[in-house]
Amino acid sequence: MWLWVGIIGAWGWVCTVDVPPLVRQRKVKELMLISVIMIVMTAGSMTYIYMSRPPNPLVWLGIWISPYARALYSLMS
Amino acid sequence: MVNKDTLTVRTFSILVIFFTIGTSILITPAGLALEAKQDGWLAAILGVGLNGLTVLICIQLGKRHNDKTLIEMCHAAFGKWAGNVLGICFVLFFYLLAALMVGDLGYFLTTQNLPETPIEVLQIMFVVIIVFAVRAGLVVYSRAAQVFFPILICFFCLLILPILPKISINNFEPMLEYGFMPVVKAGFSFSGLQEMIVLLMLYPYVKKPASSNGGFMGGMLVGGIVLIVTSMGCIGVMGASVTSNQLFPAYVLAKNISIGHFLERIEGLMIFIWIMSIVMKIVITLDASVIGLGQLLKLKDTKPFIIPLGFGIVVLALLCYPNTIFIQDFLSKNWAPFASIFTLFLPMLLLVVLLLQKKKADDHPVTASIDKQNV
Amino acid sequence: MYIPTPTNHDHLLHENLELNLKQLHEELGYSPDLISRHFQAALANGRIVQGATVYMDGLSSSSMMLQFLFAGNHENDPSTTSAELLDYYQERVIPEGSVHKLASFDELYDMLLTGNSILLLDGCNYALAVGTKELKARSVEEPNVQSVVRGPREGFTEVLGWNTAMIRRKINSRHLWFETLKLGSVTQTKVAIIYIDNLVSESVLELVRERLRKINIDGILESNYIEEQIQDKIYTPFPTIFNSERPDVVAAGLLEGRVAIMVDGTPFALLVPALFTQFFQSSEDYYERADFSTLIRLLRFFSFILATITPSFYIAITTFHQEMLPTTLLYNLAAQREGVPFPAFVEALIMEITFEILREASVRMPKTIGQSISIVGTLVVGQAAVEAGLVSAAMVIVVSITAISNFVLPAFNLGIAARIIRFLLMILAASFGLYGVFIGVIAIIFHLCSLTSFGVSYMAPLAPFNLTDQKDTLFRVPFPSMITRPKSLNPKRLVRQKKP
Repeated sequence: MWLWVGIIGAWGWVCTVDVPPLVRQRKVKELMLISVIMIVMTAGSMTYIYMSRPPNPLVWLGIWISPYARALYSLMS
Repeated sequence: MVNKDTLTVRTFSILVIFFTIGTSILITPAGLALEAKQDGWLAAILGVGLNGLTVLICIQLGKRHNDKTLIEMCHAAFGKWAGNVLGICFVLFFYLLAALMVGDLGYFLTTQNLPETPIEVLQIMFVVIIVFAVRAGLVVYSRAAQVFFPILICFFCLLILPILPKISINNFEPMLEYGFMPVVKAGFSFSGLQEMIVLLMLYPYVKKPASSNGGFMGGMLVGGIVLIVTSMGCIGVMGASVTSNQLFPAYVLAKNISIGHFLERIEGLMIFIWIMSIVMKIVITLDASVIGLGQLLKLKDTKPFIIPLGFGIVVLALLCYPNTIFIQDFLSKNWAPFASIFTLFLPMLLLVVLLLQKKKADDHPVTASIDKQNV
Repeated sequence: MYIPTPTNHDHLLHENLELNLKQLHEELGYSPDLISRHFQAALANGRIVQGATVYMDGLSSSSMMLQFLFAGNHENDPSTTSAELLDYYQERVIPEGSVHKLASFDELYDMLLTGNSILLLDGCNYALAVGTKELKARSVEEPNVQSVVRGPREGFTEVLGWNTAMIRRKINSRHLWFETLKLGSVTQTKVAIIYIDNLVSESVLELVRERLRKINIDGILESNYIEEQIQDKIYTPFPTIFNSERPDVVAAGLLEGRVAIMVDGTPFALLVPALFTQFFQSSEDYYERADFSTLIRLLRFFSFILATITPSFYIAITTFHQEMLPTTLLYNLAAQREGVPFPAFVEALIMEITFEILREASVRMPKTIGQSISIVGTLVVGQAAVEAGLVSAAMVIVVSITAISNFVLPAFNLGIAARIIRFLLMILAASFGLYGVFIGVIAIIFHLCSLTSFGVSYMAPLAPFNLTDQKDTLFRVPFPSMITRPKSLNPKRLVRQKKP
């Protein structure tokens, strides 16, 4: 529930403080980038709120790194 | 955009000290005591030495190209495409690092101090402060670091001095009981938590006198000493087995403070040290990733992106750290090798490539003048 | 013979005296305090010229002008036209210091309404303004807000001319320069910029001039009207401009390379740039011994911290971190809080707001009742509230310590900042305990570090750290060691005195 406060707060903050000057100066690239980041993050927070076991980037990282990590540590023991 | 030569050497050293202390002061004694048992302090010294190696590489990179940040160095070394890929990897690493540290702090407060508060609230509050600081700019948070530094020293002395009488030398014996290898392993895990490479993004903004190395090494040493003292305190007061069982051993150490038998259990005040150092570390890391993003995408003004990226940090932290067991597991098994790719191996590669490039550039003018003479 | 060239060609003075006077009375709304006195003067060729002297009753003294007009000896008057007569008066007759010729109505109103007397002659299209100011203003008294135990007891008054004279008396150097301008489209208030030419930082001076020129307001009644418009950032509780009622404080600031801004009509002068540590300094620090002043200054810093975080610490510790209290104290507090129906935060809020109400009320109370109300208010109300079970006794102590520490700060505007921040920190403490307090403190420090005062970092010399400036921030070194001026202000000459 509090994450919703965070989401609404973030959107509100971005739209009131950062977006108007960019709209005035017509910087389309930055506006697109900001909206992309905000949408990705909102999607991420939705998965956190609604999924029971949300996807974990560290697990993906672990799958890639663990062989190399195990090899490195076995060098040292 | 900040001008070059904004930070003095002294300010940069203070930033380095805060960065080194960062989250490490809270979580490293556990990992050290787990691997090296009572030789954890030796492992800490070794880890600080390993960090020194990293810092040397950073200083060499900084000396040769002292007006370029890390991303620009990637571009210079590997050309546009490969340099961009490498730059994206670095920026994502910094971003992940910031998210993990926010997660660390959230779990620290939720498990130790404010158990009934939802973790998102604590993390959001924290990130709001950090976003304010990064939006205000490098000049502002470096000034704030100078204000925080005496407070940090004060509180740290308040932490360490009362527990010195409680240290028992028995907890350090026997030394090197299991040989030197566990010490090496623990030292390597220790150094994986410092990630000094992030500071290379801020190195161009430091006023560098010709002779010295910009306070980098000195700051790292001071921070390292703080960490070594904390580890020694933890192992000395509580013993290696208790220390290795804790998630946040320094907090448990603070519970042992007893001044005159009336000022006790002031660990709630000591969290100021860790909040301060973690705030500064996350501010520097977030600033580094924002600067990196700006340089990758050739953006002139990166201020509008700080709020979305800050919001993303909270989300990433919530996703990455589901529970404390996972944190312990990941940090002890996978983090140090992963971080060492970015803090040790890639910078070494960059340095070697840049050195070779410079040599080639040095060779060419000679051949050019020979050609002229022949003609 | 100097003939003035008027800037505004629409409202030139007429040659006809009656026309001039008629327009004058009409445009001033037939004001009863506009006195016009007709007289006749004789020219050398025997002609009689009508003249009039006009002045505002209460602003200027009539006796001077009339004395020379009627009692003076005009036999050697060589003039044959009224213009020549006016010149003769200006150059040979009028025994007064400031005499100007004016040719337009705007200049005339300007001069008339600031207390000069105007001399008009029939047949001449310019007039003379003679400085005959005699103001009824408050005399020089001891300032009651910023008083000292040892030191000069003069304070500024509301007349700009007297105030600048007081500063000239303190600094007898030829390098003390003033610049005046008029601000406020309706009030036309005189504002003076004062600085010592070979010490001041040029960038600050330029900024001051530029920002003052940008002010566009109808009236300036107090220096705060200017302060709010020239300060660096509006939305901050911390003051970035220092104000003082004492000439010695202003003189000390000028000697460090600052710029003083004085406004006619108020005794409070502004000093820029102002640093955070400056609000903890009082002129008494320099009039007593160095070691004593150091201790008192440290006490002031400590009481600022007390005034800001004591209620929040109390709330945080009693609500979240009870383990921090020594056991006996914990028993006492728990026993006290047993009978109180409210949580600690509501208790604190009630007491703090009550105290703010009492403080505001005592400001407006007539002096005779004020004393009794303060004793009644704090002791009796506090005691009664404790006995009624509304608040606990510890809370009353906490609120009193906070309030008293607030008064230790010599600068009132910093005390206001402490009061505002205290409530923010109380809310954070009630929600998140000590973590909330620390987050609040960190946020405040970030905010303080982002402030600048006219280009100088607000937290200098703490951040960016400057070792030589530390001799006058947290502690004061004895005078023989005060060799340099504050480097953070960037004065033109750094060295104040030779090394001993």
